[in-house]
Amino acid sequence: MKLSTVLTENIEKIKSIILADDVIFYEFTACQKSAVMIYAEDLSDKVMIGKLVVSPLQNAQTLSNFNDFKKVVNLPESDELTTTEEVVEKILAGDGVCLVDGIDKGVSVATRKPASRAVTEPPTASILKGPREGFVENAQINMSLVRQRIKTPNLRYEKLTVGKLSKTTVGIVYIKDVANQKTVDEIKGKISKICVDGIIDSSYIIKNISDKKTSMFKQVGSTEKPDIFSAKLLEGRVGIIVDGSPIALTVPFILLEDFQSSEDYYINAYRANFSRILRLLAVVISIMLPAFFVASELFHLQFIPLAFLLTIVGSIKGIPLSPSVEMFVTLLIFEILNEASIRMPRYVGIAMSVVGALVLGETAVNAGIVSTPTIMIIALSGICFYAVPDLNETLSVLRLMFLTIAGFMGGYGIILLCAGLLTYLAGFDSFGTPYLSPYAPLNLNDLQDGFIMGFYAEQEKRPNFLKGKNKRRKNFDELEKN
Amino acid sequence: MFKRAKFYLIIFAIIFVNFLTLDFLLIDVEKTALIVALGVDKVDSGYEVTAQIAVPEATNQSTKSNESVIYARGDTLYDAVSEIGNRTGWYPKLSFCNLIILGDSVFEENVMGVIDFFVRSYKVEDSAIICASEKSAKEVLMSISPLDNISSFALSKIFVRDHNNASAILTTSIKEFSTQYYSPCKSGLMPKVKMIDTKDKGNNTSSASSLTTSTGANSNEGKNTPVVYDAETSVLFCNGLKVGEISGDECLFFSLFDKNAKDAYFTLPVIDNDGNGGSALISIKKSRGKLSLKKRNGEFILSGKLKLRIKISDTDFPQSMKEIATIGRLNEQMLERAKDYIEKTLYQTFEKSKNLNCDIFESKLKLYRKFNDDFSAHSEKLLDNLKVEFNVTCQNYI
Amino acid sequence: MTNLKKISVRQLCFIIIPLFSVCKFYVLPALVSGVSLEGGWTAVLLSFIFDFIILLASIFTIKNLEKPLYNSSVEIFGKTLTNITFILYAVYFFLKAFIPLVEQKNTISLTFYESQPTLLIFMPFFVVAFYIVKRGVTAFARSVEIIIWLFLFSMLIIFALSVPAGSYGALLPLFNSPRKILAGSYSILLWFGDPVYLLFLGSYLKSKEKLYKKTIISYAVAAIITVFLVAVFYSIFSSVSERQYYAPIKMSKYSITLSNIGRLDYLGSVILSLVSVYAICMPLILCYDSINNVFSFKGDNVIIPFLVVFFEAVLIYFCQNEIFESIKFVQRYFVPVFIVFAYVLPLVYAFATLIHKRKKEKLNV
Repeated sequence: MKLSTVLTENIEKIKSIILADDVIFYEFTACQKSAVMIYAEDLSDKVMIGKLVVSPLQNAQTLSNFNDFKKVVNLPESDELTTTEEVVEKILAGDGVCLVDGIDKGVSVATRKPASRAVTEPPTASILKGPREGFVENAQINMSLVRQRIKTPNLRYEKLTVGKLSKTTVGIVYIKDVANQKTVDEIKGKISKICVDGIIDSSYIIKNISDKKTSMFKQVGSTEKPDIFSAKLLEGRVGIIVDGSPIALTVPFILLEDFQSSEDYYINAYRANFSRILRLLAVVISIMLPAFFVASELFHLQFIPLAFLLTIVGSIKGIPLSPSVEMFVTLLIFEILNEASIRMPRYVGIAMSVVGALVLGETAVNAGIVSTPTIMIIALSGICFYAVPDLNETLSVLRLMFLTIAGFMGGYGIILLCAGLLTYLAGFDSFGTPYLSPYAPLNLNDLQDGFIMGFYAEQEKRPNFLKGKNKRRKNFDELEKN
Repeated sequence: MFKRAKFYLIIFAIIFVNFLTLDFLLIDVEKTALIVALGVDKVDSGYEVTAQIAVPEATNQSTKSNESVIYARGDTLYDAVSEIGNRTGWYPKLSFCNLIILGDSVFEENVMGVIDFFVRSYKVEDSAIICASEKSAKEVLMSISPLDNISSFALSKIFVRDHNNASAILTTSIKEFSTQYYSPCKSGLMPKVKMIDTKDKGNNTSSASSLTTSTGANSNEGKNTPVVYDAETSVLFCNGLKVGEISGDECLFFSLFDKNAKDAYFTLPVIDNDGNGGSALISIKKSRGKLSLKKRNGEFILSGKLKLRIKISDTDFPQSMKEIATIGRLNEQMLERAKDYIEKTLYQTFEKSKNLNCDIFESKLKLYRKFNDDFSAHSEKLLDNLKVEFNVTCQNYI
Repeated sequence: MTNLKKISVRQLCFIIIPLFSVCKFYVLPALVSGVSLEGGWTAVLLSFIFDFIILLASIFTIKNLEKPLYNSSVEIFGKTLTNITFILYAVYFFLKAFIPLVEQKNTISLTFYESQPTLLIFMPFFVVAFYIVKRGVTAFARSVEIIIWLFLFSMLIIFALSVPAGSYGALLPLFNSPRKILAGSYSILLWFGDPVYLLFLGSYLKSKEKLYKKTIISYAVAAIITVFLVAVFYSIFSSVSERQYYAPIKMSKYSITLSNIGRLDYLGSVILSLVSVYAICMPLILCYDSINNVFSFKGDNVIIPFLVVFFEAVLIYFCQNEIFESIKFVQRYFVPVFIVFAYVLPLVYAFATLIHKRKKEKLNV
């Protein structure tokens, strides 16, 4: 609906659309004409509105047409508005809108001041060495953190608005020519096709753009740290920043990424390699150990050294549950404790750990409900579980699957599940990139940042599997000018 | 999505129900008899198998060997082993069985009739050590040893100690014995276990007679005398039949062709400084041996060469400080004597095996491998026509 | 051919090394030792040399065909003959999976499980096989790129534990009886004839650069590993080797190291079983592929992989109690058929390709 020249009429129209008490209609006089400044009380900066819009208008010499109006309110990010819908959209986005009687156009001014927390170290990615900044819920701040690290004009930030009701800003960030343009286009296409009422967090985007929506494996990378995000952009990945979410996304995503920590690049390469191998080992132990133990105990006693077997037989004597059910119940208790302690207030969480570990564990063993080796196996598996925090969600499901199949079929079940899982992962692509890259398909250049990483000084090229145009990191090939 | 979730849920439910019920003849570890040693004796109607079971009770300090022993009879060995399960309700798990003891009664017939079972079966590992017993296998397994409360564990210790080194104990596995049996030599040997009463220190021979043959687990508790085991004698087999024995020194020198010595001992008869007869304990610190078959002027010669580094470890006569201070060096005369003694023993071993038609030096196998064209013509009479040359070189270790 | 996805020459090589050798590890060493005695490894080497000729013929065909095998075959032999050949090849691949399948079932039941009914334990294999077959060549080739490292790791364990236990004099006399060696080679014929797989996998190649060099090297690696395994096997078991089925599990248990750390050798065997799953699925994938070529199904087909795997399961179900009899039966009646499909037809294809190429060249001139 077009704005009219009659201010009261315009105010009435806007009021009929926005029925909210937190939208302020501040009426004032400018050059003997009535004017109104409309803004959302909690989203806009009142001081800025006063200083930059109201005060200049009140002191203006002439205000006969829109050009005069525009000259007075000549600010960056100010837009010309012609319809009531545009006015409403700007107000709800946090901008201030000014209308003057006798002029059928309005002007919006970027006076947004959304509530935002300070840039702090994210709790999910704390490191000993390296930058400690973390993303916040404000896309603009997040983008500024990225720009601080990459100061090339080729760093592109393309905004899309997603969500019929939430109108969330989703920014696609990439370095032109370093990122594969096909991937950029594919992401843009997928995001613009999202047709939902609202995007509350970046995880909504993940679920909407993933190729295999029912898969338990991550297909989109996520990080809370601008340094990791920037490093991934430099590798040739495409980033997605969602307003309202401190978690930025990167695509394409490969399984190996979960085993890489930002700290690997900041510390000694020997230690970094050792850590990566440990992480891989921890994942294997976490998934397989309970399954192998149950399979060996039930089906393949010969796999266990005799002395250890005698210890096991001694400890399970009198346990009423079968080894598989015993392991399952212990795992279940562990998962419940885990679930509860994450959401508990910190001081209660500590108490919960004490209750879980000492009271429940010790008492269960003493009461002969579960055996000591089972507790030990679950504890070890549980510790290993957190060596790669990003894989937690998947690992817990996999561990349960392996345990169930081991209790049902023994070692051969584990072998078959491994074969099935491997085939599944091998045939899995994330935005055209094989999920098991750089191992399947093997890419010798990309092994430089694999489970055994090369020295940073020797990593000359960007990963080949990302298929960007600009390939060299060392002896850098200049990017094409815009 | 919901359809697929339902499908996954059904699959998971099926597996999970199976997981919880485990209803397909699964044998619980608690219902498994972990057999660590098997003794086989021949009885009138078939075989008697004595199984030593490792159960936690049996492995704690208070349990005695005979409390962990179960025995059963059957027409065949398989039958007898199955009978163990029938009697106890336990599943006999043989994959941990590392020791097979054959009682003296087994040697009345072709021993391969028994060993066949272990070669045939996938349930028992053919890497298990096999040995002969002076008495019945049951007595050995029922015996009590101060070394370990499980007799087979105590016995295994003497076999595994020098497994890779030359020693007087010729440790043999089922696989090794059957390989020799099915080779052109058709001969083999296995160590013979004797029980030595620890209370009767003066008597170096078997004191197994002091044991009461048990027919029940606890019937002879308190009556058994603790024993230690000796396996320095080996039994010779030809075509699966027991044909003779070789002594500890014979075993040791014979094994030097096959394995290197690390710290093997033998007693050398020597003459002391006063011209009296005495003996010295000689330690073989290093050895290199080679046994080969040669053809010279149409005759086959078995040539054995040994190079030994030896030292005196002890003597039964007093030595001067100078002699002791030379850290066990042998003088020329003693070195010569040691060489003669070893060569004499080797010739003696060869003659013994030749007379028993037992090809423990594997000359027929060597003929097959090296002079294959002559094999069919000469293999029958090879042992009779074979000339033998043993050449031993002894040098001081330091 | 619909939905043609691509694999690289390297992936083809990675298929050759583990999958051409692992199927020969279980029954073959005992079987060939029973016939050729100490010349067993020579018999295996000889078989590899026979296969090498077919490998060269197959690579020649792949290299000189501009289109996928099916399309080229239609061009050369006509559609009807090509369809018949491909259907027969589908049957051949179906039967080719039988022996490794039987071997795996027995390995699992006799060495891993002592007291459980093996059919129930083994049947889920077919679910996984269906999935692998359904996912097709690309996912399969990528999986093998991971599998090869596991395979090499397991071989490292097995050889590290078994090589010191061998008495290598047992391999003498070398080349003792050519007749025995030939007889041994004949007795294991059904375990060979793998290069024909390349003929079909060649259709999926995206580049044919260095095809000869790379495939020949990887084939040589597979041959060396297998021949070495058979040689070590005989040096360990010599006169009793005929009885020692499932060689990888048997041969590495004599190491003294195991007394300290438990049965580490089982780890190698478990990994080899995983590799075997893929080795069994390879002919099944090609069976599906051959049928797919003939009937040109569009999109991802579920029915055909299901039927291929289902009938294989039925075959195993009916043969489960007479497994060695079944192998003997296959050996008795299947050998001529085997020779035609594994040796004759690849040579025919190579000659036809050569003639076709020359004709084209003449036309161009």
